[in-house]
Amino acid sequence: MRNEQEVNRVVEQYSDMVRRLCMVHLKNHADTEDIFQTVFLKYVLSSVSFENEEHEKAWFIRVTVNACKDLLKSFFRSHTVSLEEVMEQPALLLPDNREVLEAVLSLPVKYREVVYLHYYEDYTAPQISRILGKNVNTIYTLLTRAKQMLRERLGGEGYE
Amino acid sequence: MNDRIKNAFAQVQAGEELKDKTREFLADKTRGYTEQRRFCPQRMAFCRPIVSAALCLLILVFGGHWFYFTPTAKISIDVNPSLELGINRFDRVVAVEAYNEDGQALAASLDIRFMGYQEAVSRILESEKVAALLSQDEILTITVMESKGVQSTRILSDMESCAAGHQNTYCYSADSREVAPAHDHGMSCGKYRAFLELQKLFPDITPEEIQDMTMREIRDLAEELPEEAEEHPHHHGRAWTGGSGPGSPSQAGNGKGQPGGAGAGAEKEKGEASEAAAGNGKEQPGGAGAGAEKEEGQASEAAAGNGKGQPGGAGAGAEDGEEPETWEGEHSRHGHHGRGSGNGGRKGHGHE
Repeated sequence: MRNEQEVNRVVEQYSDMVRRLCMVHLKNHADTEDIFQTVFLKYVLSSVSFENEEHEKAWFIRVTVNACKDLLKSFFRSHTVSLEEVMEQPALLLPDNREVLEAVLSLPVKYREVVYLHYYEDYTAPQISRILGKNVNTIYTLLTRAKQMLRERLGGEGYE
Repeated sequence: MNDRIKNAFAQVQAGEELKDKTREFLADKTRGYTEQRRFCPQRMAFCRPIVSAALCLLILVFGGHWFYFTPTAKISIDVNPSLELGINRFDRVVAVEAYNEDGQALAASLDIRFMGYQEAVSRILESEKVAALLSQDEILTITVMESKGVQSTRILSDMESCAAGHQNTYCYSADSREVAPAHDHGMSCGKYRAFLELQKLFPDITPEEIQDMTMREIRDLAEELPEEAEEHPHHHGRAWTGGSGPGSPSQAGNGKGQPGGAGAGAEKEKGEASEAAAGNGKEQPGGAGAGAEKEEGQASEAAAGNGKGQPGGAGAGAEDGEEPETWEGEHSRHGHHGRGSGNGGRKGHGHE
């Protein structure tokens, strides 16, 4: 079991990331708390020794994604979500950011995952496929389609 | 678009409140980070539905088994082979028990489980052994254990019609309370019922003696006794359906308990009831004589050896000439063969 010091470190380091992943998967804020507790408790109790920071980060991503999925599986949920539900204070968001986030959230879950990991965390498709345990071609397909959908929703030019 | 997405996500952050709450939770859970292994509750939750599903399955299996296999009625078939068929609530044979060696052999040679009871009984009646026995003049009795309920009534009437269609086959009903004592004595219900009837005539007869007798023998024994039926109005057995004669000697006793009845039955065809009502007691020498008048070709009544010292019986028997010899041999318990004498006035009737 990890000691307090280690826990504090990871909480500081990965909270934001976990938070974003939660937003991408979940429907309301209360669940975020649940996920936080689950993920970090797992860390505390786990005996995985991480080779490096990248390894640790990937571990956190995977655990968070799985925890979110488990939570979603456990009871019936609707498929639409609004920012109000997933953020404590959506009003504080800049308009442009708000628009983008809403567009992302309008995508199906599996697209949201890869969008976040690719566009924000800058993981490549092969890396994502390793982290999530999916086929790399699947990841490519998901990314392509997600990009397409976002373009439709956000409109605009000059995008990759 | 890349940057836009990046910026958008960048603004999403875990608040301090959330982090603090999480830290608190972790400290609490681990009791200040001391070494403690916590049993993951998820594992328990996983087990629970499996355990309850398994339990349900067990209940279903055993319940279903009990439901289907519990006999709700019994049919006892006795010639000499003694069989008992357990019938379940769906009118299927679910149990076949034999109560003597012949019965076991018969049961082994037939495969009547799970058939409807009517088909099963027909199979038995038509089987080689049984058919052979019947044509040798053995008697087959079908005894339906009666209990309150539609099923046993239905089975009874079916068995009666079945018995009517076969030679030397008789159908009775017996009380289902007799099942337990019957099994205690190691005999089938049909035989036990016969034993009870015979016991009325011969109070000191024992089950062991009955065990080895064929139904034919038992009935003959019973029929030899009756005398003075006038004084003892014969009471009919319960549901007797004689298979052989045309005017089914319905009141002709059960073959065991009311020998007077047998005599009466025989003479019904002739219209003379008097002699027929040969007494039922033990010292009624005329019984055999009455029996001889049966017209059913069962010379056995004439057979001697009532077993309790009725010389008259022997006398009547002697007049028939054939079977008495054999019967004597088997039934001479008391050695009173008294041929040709002692019958007194009854003898004359023996020939008609």
